[in-house]
Amino acid sequence: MPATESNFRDVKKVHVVFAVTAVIMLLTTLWMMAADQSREWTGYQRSFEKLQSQKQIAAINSIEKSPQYETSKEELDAKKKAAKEHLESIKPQVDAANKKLAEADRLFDQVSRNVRSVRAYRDKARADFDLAVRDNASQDELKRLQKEFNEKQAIVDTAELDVQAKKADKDAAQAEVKTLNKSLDDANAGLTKLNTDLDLREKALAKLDPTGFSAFKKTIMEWPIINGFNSPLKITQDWLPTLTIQLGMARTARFDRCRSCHVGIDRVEAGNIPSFPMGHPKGEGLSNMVLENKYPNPFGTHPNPDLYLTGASPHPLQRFGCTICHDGQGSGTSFKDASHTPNDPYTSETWHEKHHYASNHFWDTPMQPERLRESTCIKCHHSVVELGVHPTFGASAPKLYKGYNLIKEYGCFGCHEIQGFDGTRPIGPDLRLEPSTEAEAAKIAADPTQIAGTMRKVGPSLRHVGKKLTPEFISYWVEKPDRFRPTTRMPQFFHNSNQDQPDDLLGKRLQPVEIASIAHYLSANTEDYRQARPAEGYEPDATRGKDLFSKRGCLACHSHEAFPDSKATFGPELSRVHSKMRPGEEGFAWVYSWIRDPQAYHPRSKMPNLFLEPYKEGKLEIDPAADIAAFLLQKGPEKFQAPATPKGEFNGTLDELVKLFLAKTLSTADADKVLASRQYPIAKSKIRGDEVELASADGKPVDEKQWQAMRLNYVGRRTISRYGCYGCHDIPNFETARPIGTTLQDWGRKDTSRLAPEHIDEWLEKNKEANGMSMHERVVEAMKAARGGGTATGEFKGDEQEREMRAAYYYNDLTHHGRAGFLWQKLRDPRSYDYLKTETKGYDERLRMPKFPFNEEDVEAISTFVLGLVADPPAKEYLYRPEGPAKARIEGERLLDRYNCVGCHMIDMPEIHYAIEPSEITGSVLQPGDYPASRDLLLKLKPPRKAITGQKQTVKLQGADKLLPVMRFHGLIMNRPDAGDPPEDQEYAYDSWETLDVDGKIVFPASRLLVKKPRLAPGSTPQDGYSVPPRGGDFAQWLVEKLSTTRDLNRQLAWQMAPPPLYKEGIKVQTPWLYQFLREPYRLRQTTVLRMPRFNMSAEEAQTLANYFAAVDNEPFPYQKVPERDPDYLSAQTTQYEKYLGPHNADYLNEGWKVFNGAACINCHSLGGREVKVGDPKKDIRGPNLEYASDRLRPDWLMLWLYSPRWITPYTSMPQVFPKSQSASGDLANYFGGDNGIQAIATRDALVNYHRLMEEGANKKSVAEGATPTPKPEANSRSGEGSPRSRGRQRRPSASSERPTTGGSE
Amino acid sequence: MRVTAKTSLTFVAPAAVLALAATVAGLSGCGGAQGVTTGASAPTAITIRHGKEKGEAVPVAAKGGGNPAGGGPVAAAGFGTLKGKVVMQGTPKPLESLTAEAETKAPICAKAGIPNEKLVLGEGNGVANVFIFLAKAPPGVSVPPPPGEPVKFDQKDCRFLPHALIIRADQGLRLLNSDGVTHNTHIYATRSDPFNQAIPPHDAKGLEYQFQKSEAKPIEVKCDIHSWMRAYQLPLDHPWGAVTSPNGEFEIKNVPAGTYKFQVWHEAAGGGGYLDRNLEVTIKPNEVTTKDIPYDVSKLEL
Repeated sequence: MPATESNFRDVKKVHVVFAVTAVIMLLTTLWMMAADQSREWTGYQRSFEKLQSQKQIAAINSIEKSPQYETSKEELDAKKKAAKEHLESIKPQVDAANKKLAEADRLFDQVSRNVRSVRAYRDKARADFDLAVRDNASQDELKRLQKEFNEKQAIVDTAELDVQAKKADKDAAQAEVKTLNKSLDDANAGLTKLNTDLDLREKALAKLDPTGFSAFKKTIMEWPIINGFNSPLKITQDWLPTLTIQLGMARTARFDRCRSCHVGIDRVEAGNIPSFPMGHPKGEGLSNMVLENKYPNPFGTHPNPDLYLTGASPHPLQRFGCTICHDGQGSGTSFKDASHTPNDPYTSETWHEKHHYASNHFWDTPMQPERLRESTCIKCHHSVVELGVHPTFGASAPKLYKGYNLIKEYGCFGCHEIQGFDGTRPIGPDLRLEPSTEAEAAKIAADPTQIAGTMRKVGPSLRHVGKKLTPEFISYWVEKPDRFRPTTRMPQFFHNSNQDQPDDLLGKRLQPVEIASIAHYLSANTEDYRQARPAEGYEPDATRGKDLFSKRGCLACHSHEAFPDSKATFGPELSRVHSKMRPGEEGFAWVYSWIRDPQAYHPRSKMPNLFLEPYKEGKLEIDPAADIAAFLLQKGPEKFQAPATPKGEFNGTLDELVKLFLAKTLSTADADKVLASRQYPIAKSKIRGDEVELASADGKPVDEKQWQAMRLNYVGRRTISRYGCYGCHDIPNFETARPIGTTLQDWGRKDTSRLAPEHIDEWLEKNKEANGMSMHERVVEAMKAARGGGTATGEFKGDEQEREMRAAYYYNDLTHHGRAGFLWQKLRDPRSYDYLKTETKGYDERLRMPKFPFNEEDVEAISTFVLGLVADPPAKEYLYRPEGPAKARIEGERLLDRYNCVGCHMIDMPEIHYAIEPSEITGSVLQPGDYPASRDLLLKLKPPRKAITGQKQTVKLQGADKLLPVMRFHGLIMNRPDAGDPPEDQEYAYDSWETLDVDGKIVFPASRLLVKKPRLAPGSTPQDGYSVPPRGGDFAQWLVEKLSTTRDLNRQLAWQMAPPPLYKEGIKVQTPWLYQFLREPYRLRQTTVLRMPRFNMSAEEAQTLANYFAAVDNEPFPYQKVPERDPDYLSAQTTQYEKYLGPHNADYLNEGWKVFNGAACINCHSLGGREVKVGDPKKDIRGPNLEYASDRLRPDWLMLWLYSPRWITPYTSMPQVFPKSQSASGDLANYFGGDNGIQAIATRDALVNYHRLMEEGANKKSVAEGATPTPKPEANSRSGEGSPRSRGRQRRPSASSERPTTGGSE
Repeated sequence: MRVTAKTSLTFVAPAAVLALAATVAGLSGCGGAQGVTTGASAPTAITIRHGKEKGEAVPVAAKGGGNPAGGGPVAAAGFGTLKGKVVMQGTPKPLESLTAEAETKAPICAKAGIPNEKLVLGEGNGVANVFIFLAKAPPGVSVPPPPGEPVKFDQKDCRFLPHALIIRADQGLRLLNSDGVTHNTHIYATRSDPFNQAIPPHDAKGLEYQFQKSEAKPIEVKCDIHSWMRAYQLPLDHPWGAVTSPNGEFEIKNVPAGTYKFQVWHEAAGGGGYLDRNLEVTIKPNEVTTKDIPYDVSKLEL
């Protein structure tokens, strides 16, 4: 087409189109900019700026208005004014001084200038000389130049002297002026100091809320486009390259932008106090937040800054970011995109209204809702324990820890393995059964790619159960365990929702036969074991047995209706144990044997050996085990009924089951044939599976009776196998069987499409909740109440809101096919997922998980743990894998739980919190009997703890309310209020166990602290007045109450008869000794009514536990130095006390030996084979045998104990034997000049070197015959005899029970 | 059987008061030897000695300069005396002597014999070692200061002397040991820091212990080495209390006139040792009020 002049389109039209599109473009651009300008996070950042400035203003106001500030300012202003007036009054003097200074200054300047010019001349002379040397000038020339230099140098020297003189003049003048101005300068400095904080705040305020040009600049910086260049408002991004995240198929660095909105999250003030404490202010708007000092999300500071976010905490923000713990989409910058998760459907509704929230299905790891927040902790904290018990942070994840403990207690891992390792790489908490045979354990130990499980089966061994129970009782028990014992942990396998529906005839018919076959299998396969028997003709006394049962420690783990105030739950409740045992002699023999030696029956039992050996009381022979057995069994056996099957149906049903199981290995026709012929087609030796029970030894048909037994055995074995009973119990022929359940180590990431909710909606509709409604109705009601205002308006009462909203959350999640909801219902009613499925499933395909007695709170705790199992550990450096003391503590805590050490022993003393008037507490002073050295030792071993908590409590004093500071201390109650006194006079008396620092005043342990009842912090238990209950020691406390109600015992004595608190055990015992003692405990304390049992623990466990106590008290372990055994130490001591040793021609240690053999010690302590003389064995106080002290006690502890026993154990009967205020008398006056202080030290050293002394003495004279070994003439004659320590190791204690081998002491 | 107190019994002379107190301290009631003789040098007097020393039965507060508190003088109602006798009704079962026990533990202790002092009956079934005292000083009454001298508390023949003792809380307690063996005096105070220190043999100088606080009822003193040794002490923050003599008699002087509830306590009584927590007595000025306290043997836990 030829070119033309005409336009292709009408220009005018084109112009219009362009104009319109340009306008649209412009508007779109503006709209884009506006939208960008008003993104959610910019709003939050602007609001936060306002919050900050308002907070600063409030702070400035409060400082300026505080009376201290006002008075100080007034004072300083007055001082300033006075100083000015004073200066005015001495004006001539000031002027003169100033003038003098000015003149001195001028002169100084002058000479300073002068010195610079003469130095230049001197330098030129030096250069001339140097040049002449370079140019090989003649000697004369050089000499001349040198002379010239010397002259110039002389001038410089003079000038410099002048400068120094003038400088001194100037300084003097300056000092004079300064002295005159001093009062004014001080006042000014004071004002500056007073205003420092204010100035800082004002500067900060000016930055936040600038005025003038700065404000203009700030506004400009926030403009579109310009805001691309370091705007004050910007997205805050934490980049975490090593803390990667899985996105689809790729692992990539994590970007957390959470702080773009959560602006105040890491703001803390000095002392790690949140600047913007989280909370919900009652009033609306920013100013109310400042007023009430409560800041809601996203403005608040993260709670617990000691633990999270701050640089000093273990989880600094820069290293951890946010989403590793919280999950969610870190890169999202809007509320919705961040994948927040509401805590319940009601919250979801409010979020929807406020933030247009909707759940984002496309993000794999949405944020954890608040209720499950703790679940992510186990990504890194595989040992879990530190989340429940920690010396600094306490219980940081209590719900998770509860879930973990429930799983351990109920033995979930028996069926559901929780594998903590991928090969040897840690991936999460490890909860697996230990190898069931020694061969398997050895195999795993030899394989470097495997790590063995450590958990014991939680149920008792059933290998010998036929010796204990009748088949009828087994049936009765298995059918419904909690019918016999409501507190049992054994779950219910029968009569669940997929077996007992009204129209489920199959379930009704088969269950009794399954149960009977289990009972038959267990009884028929019972193996023999070695039973202990009481002496022939011994007549057990049940009344005495009851007393022994209570005193010998049974109640530390078990409860019994005869002792209603004792509530231990570690072991089974024993009130009905008599009814279930095999009747007659058999049952008695079982109980007797069990309590004498539990491991003979069940090698992995946690029940310890209590050393219930027969003993004599006068002429009376007592067998405590027999008496206790008689007490437990005195009500006699009962008859139990196995579940009934209609007559004549049993055999048919049994055949039905045999056929059902056989059909899995044989064809149906073959199975029929077997049943008809009573003969199995394969030879017994060739059968691998359970069918072996159906084959006779010779392969021939058997008679009716035998066939009956064989069929029952077969069905029993198959049923046990099907229900996985061996996950909790040791059962013959199931030694190598594998757990039957789903593994749980990555269940928290389980593909939700693989969950099978089946007809759960229908089930929940049909099945009624506790309140009579269906689940759906229950949630509808709850939502209605929540919308109506919840607890605040009385729609919910008590903790209803918490409970109902929890149900609503899980129900909602379940209907959306979430993991949490699925798990919730699975734990509430495991078989409910079989609803209307049993119709189309084989009987053996039905769900098998038994029903546990969990309440909804328990379920949530378990869910928190299980949902945290994701097998997705972050990089190694993020895993919490402590070494040294921290590790020892964690491992030890686990064992304290495992062996229920806390049943008897207090691990943490109870705490008492009460309001004091600071003037009421006077610091402790040394009593006349106390040594200054003992005070130093006390402060070293028990460093003072700050007693003032910082909290305040309102107390009525003389009719008026007064706000008093609260003080706390660890201690034991020693006297309760007299109920007869008027309430305001009721008074508790406590012994403090720790050294306290009360506002700088030191209060020694064992101080009697009296607390009036109204002063106790609210919430203290009324009985004991403890604000924080003790950790452990329930039995000890129970026993003390029991013993101290008898006439002759006060609480101090009763405590000495009970298991001792293990408070500060680490500073006391040597770790190797404790290890030996745990392995092989011997009778140490003579006053206790029971003794330490021997636990079924491995050497490694004993070592761990021994280390634990040292680690808790920051003492070295596993070995300790005992410098007091060092020959150098001993010769130094000998030298020091030489003047006392001379007259006896003795050495230091032997002299000490004589002191501790003196009457003071041996009155109460046995020693060297010589027993204490006993007047009345029930009343006499006897201390531990002193020969153990050497290996058992740490020297510093022993020293303090000798100085002042009450500081260590306030209730002890051990007197202060070496008081400072007295000098030794009698025989003891002969040693060390009768100086008690030296005698105490020498006694300690002799005790520590006990073995050495015994060895030396044994050569000359038996210690048992006389009080002393023959002293050696010279101290140094010992040093040639080899290491005393190696000899010490060979000494064994030599009293009644089996002895430990003494550990080394280095 | 019921024996009432001999109302005619009055002690006026200070020496006689001392004698009474010393006898309280010394008698075992089971035919044991009298350990402490009377004499002005034995300041084991434990009751109301103050004021009597000066030989005047006048209100304490009115004494010139005698009262450091110097507070408002007591109402003119004046002061009276309470006296009486505690008598056992019925026959308690005999107590076993503790000598055999002592013989096993330390023969040296058993030489003088160890009577069981849990219940000591005197003439006319009077009960010794009963504490009669006011729980608190009457409000508004200025309390006279304690005697300056400490009370002596001895350990002799492996027994504590005296067995029952009332002391002022702010008064010293001098602990002695007349025996040839070490004793540890373990004072199980409930409101003061407990004391437990070994006292070496033949310690005539002894050492001094001071209660910090008064107690609501008598506390135990024991020797942990010789478990039969036992005594009871009651520190009070006022002087209005007494321990019965071997014959069961007691006297409390200079009690401000008024009506009071006295506490009556004995170590063998059940229910925390109280025989009576509300023994109501009206004291009239310058009069001797007599109150006999009979109690039944069933109240004892022996």
